[in-house]
Amino acid sequence: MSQKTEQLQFAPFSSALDAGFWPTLSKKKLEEYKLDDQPKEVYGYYYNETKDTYPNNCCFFSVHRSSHIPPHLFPSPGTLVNFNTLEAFKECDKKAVIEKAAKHVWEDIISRKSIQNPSLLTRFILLTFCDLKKYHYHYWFAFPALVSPEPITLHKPARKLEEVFNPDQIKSLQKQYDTLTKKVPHLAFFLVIQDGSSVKVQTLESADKVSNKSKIFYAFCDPCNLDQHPGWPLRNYLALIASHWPSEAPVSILCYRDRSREGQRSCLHSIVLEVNLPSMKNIAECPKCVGWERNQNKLAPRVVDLSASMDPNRLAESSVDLNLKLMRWRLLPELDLDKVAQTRCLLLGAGTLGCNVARCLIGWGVRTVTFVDNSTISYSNPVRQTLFEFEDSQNGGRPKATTAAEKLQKIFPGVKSSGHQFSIPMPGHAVGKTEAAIKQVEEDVHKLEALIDDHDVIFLLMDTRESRWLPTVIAASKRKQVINAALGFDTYLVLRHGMKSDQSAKQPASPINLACIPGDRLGCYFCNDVVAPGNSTRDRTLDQQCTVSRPGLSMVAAALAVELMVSLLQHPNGGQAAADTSAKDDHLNASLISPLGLVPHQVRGFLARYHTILPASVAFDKCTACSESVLSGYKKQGFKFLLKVFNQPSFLEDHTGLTVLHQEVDNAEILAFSDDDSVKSSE
Amino acid sequence: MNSQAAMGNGTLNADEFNKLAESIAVFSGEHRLGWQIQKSSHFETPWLVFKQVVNVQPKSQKEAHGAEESELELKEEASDCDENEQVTLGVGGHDDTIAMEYHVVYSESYQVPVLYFNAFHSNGKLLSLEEIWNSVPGPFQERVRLDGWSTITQQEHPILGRPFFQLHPCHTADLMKQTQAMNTHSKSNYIITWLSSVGPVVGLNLPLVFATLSDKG
Repeated sequence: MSQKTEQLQFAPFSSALDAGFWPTLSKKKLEEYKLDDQPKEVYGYYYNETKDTYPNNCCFFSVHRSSHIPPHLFPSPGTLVNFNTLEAFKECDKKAVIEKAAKHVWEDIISRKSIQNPSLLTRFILLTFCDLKKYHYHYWFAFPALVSPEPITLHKPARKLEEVFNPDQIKSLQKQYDTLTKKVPHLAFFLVIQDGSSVKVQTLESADKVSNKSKIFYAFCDPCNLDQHPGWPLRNYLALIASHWPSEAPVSILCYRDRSREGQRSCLHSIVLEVNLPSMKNIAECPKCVGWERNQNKLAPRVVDLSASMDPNRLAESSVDLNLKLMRWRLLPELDLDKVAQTRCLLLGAGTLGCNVARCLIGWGVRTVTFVDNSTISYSNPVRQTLFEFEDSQNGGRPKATTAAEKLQKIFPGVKSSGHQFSIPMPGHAVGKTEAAIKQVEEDVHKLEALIDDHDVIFLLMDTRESRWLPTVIAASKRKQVINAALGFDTYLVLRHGMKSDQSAKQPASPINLACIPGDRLGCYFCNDVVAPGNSTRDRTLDQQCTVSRPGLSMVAAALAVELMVSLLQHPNGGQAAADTSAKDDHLNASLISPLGLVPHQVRGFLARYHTILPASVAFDKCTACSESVLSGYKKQGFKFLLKVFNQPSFLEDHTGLTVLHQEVDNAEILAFSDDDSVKSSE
Repeated sequence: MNSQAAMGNGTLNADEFNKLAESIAVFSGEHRLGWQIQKSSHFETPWLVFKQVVNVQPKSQKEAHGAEESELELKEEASDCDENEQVTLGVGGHDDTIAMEYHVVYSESYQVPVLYFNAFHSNGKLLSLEEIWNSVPGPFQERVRLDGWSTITQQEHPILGRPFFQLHPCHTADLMKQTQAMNTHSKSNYIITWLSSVGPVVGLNLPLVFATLSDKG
């Protein structure tokens, strides 16, 4: 034990890279070094003002060939080798590398070069490999230190500065050091010469001239803050002393530490060591050397993954998230953003509504957006359909669904978006009699079923009423949330379909409070209609088939559709949330609102009067889409049932009992719900 | 008082900012406080930089650090160059330190100084905002959760082009207008007054000695 404490131990340097180091190196690699893997000159720094609370040494390294060293820092000349491959980095002969550097240190000691420029004692090596695709950086620092052939021992335990010098001497020492650094900036190695009661601070060059009567303290700026041990720079310093000024008597070392706190400067935590230093004067060969930095106590390099701060895609993601979190921190601590982010949205229709809904969804941080549309982009589309550009409409036009998915990723690479081009089969749009035609429709139905399975919220954003029927049925039977948006010329409807529960499916007829309809009793898009969906494009003139709507309408309705979804997601009851039918104060009781406020059943807007109402309606037990008879028919017979609906215009009304109830209905009473202005999309 | 006159509305012009920043750097140099002026060839106004190292509780730090860095692909080198290990002390806290970097940059559009900051591990990896919260100890932990952090965004440093966190400058002029209205006699340095009120929420505590720095430098 006593022998162990006697041997002088050194605290190694710890590398610490500046945040700008890797970005700068990456840039240099790309623009300047390229495949050049020759050693490069770099500069590092260390300082001797570590706080006592710091665990150990700190030395910060900067990659720049610096002409300007910040004050109170000590330069350390370094060699950077940036390898082109990980293999080269791994296979590089580490022993040879450090021995070569040690030889430099040794030669500079022998030639007295490091007496003139003592920073040569603190050389370092940095091996790097930059994986610029993954933003992974491998690196290994070495701080070569010459090993004394014979052990260096402590003559007596380390003493504090105050035990060696009196306050006046300390003050004088500090003052003289400051004066000297004005002439010799960033001086890290110097002499303190004690003559009676006076102390002098001088550069190493004067060591040869010091008279025998004076006492020499070999001083160095010590990055270590341990009260018993010196830091790493002392190792090569001792080699220098042992080579040029060996002594039989113990050698005095001043580990100079200098910090300021609250503007108060102090060097009282410096320590003084008395060491028995074996001479190295007659050593011909370069001594052995140590110094590869350890990683968790193993001699191994380090690797750091910087994709989070350097990959532009990751940066965009974190910025978007941070922006949303601001909303939470500032206004809505209850807001559950993860729930929104994790919601997978299926957009049926990639026209004006689809484009605008998608944009608003990514604004909320939704990460999964899937488009379904069968049409291509025409010349009239890009001005209203905000994900498309003129060139998308050329050469016959690109498919809307896949193009929208691509464009969404261009806006925000963090989104998982995809597009599917197929037609959604519609009631009254007879399927051909051929096997191939039937097979095609069956495939489309299965595709839609699979997509609805894979998503959490289904947006109905198509241009015809009847194309909304099939997804309404599938989503209702799979209990997926449907958000429906439809446009007239200057009216719009945004509606959340009721979310069936086991209870509502069994016994839908119990009386309810109409001012507050539970979510499982709310109607769907078709509940208010007393006609089954049929072919609405047949026997119509062009202006009746196309959407003729005020251009701002789609943006208003799309935004409301997304906001309604988010409000619903934030409501503790989700799709089962009861609907609010007015925004009056007495309506705003706790059970009705999500942290974002109301969750209405429908939002109907009338642009001519800039007026919005929030009606709610109960599910209709003879509804052609969500009534129990339709859902069970679909569940039991599957595609067979659907095929009858597609092929027989009167089937749904017969099936639901609507025919019996049916009276003449004035079509003009019903809002014209379609949004697309292209003929193609409406087919 | 002349320079104060222009600050009546809580803003600063670029010249005033330069002078005040310069005086802070000079004062800091005299008192070894660590603030420095930086200049760039492609940015007209110089800016102030301050760096500090904080140590964190190893436990929370480990969580923040993740496993990816410690699991290295390279095997320990069977090297004979570390035979001298008995004189090398075990590495204490390489991974227990976090460096914080603060930049005060002048914003032309808001006419106020803007505080940018970053925190990073010793391997150069930036901490996320949550990691800063969780790993940096100290009295500001509580304060940050109140409202101080609510105006933080992440964006590119206007000069360095690297991602930094930014305390949004939209409230600075209002804050300074009120501060100045309260201290009609005060000749304190605008930047110091502002930094000492917004800095603590991001772990930046100015030493009291700065209070002796007046608007004249």
